[in-house]
Amino acid sequence: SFKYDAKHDPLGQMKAFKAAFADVEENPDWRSHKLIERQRWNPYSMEGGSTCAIAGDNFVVVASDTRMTAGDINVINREVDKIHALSDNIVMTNAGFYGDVLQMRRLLETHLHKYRFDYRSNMTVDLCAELLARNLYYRRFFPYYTGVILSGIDEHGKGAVFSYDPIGCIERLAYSASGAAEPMLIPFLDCQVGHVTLADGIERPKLTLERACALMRDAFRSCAEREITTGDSIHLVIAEAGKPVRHERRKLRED
Amino acid sequence: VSMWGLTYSEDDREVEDLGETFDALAVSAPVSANFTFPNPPLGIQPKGFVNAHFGPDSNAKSLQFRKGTTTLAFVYEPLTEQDVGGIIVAVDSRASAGEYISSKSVMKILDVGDHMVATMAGGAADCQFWCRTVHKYCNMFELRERSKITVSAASKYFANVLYGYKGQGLSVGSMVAGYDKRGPQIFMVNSEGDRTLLKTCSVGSGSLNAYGILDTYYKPKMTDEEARKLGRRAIMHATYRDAGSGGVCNMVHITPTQKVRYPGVDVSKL
Repeated sequence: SFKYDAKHDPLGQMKAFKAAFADVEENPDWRSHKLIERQRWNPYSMEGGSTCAIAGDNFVVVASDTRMTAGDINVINREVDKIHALSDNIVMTNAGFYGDVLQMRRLLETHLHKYRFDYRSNMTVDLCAELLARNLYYRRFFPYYTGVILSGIDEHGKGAVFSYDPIGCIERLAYSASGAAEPMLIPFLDCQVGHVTLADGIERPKLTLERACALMRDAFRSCAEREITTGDSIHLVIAEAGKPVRHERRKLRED
Repeated sequence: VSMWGLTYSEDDREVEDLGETFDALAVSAPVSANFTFPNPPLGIQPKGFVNAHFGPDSNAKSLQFRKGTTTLAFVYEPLTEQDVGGIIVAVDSRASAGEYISSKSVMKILDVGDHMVATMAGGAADCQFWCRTVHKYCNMFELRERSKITVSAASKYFANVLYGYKGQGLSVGSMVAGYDKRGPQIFMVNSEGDRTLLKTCSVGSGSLNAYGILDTYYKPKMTDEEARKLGRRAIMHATYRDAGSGGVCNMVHITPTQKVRYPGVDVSKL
């Protein structure tokens, strides 16, 4: 007579049986290719890179790197535009899945164009920010895979930076960053722009356009040292009240 | 390995005309009556899909949704002649995306009407969007009925809307607080579909700590100063012990006649 010792299971039979049972549960014979495709379907990919924006009294400085990577390893493109100046006072920058970046740009451009057609004046940054927040939320169940930052000059002539999460939680801030190097950029900006490390009584340095640009360049140079998907060159976009948008490019590490 | 699709409908649906969807979403703003949220294709259920790509186990840690909070509200009656009574609503201001603090200055008390506020707890974008929807409904109600909407009706609408999306992964834990003809009322509304009338209420990751302070020191009759101190104290204790709460303590005092917003106080100074 065969005595089976279930507690010790010396031949590993119970273990094999349980494994086979779990396998059949997960991969049943009747599962069609459609269901397999549904399970493996991944429309997203990360192209890397990082972006940053600082708002001043009457200007806004937006910076990004220009590297596009595939799967954190291969560099596909060294001259990609991640900052899109949608008009003279609205600048959108995006880090994440490049397909959604392009789609979001098309969406905003269409809306701005339609607004101009309907109301015969340019859309202001505050309205565009609300619009973008709602459009991001309309995709709540199939989100855009990006961290957007919208910046520009508001109707009072002050610089504005709006930061979003992927489904549209909007917040107006003095500075923001998104992308792969966000955890490195934000503490740097907290220290230099937010002055969280200075004691209360000490005088804070004024945030001029020159200081903001210098901070941005320094921030990206230090991020390129420590982050693999950030590098190649810095693309700076400066929007000032009453002036057309200016672009600047500086070389960064290419390794 | 989890199967996202609970509906194994094998009938092939034609690929939607993407131009139509783009037009519907982009060119003409969605009309509430016939707007439905676009879902992922192939019959993939949104909750599992969103959790797989934006959840804590996903590849992109920096793209997690903003969450985490402590919010509290309580009703009190005036103790002396000089006090006004009403509702104190106190919140923290931290939003965390996973373990990363994405913002330390979120405004979590949102207006839902001239005499009502709703707090934000759970998913930040969810709360912002749906509170805005409720605000729109309250405005339309006042225009149609020519009288102020009650807190009960506003919270009922809110709860009904959230119940429609029950099970799809929304995360909303909001308190609708206001003064109407029935007096001061606080309704806690949940993305599970709960709606409860409460005198003292706290929602969020730090709510247990806040309840400790609130339950110990709450009295039905208080002076205004005592009530404000209680609100700040509860938030301070919650932010002290809860990693998901912090930043600045924002407070709103709803009196029979008006809403008073107090400037934020950094919790490390409390």
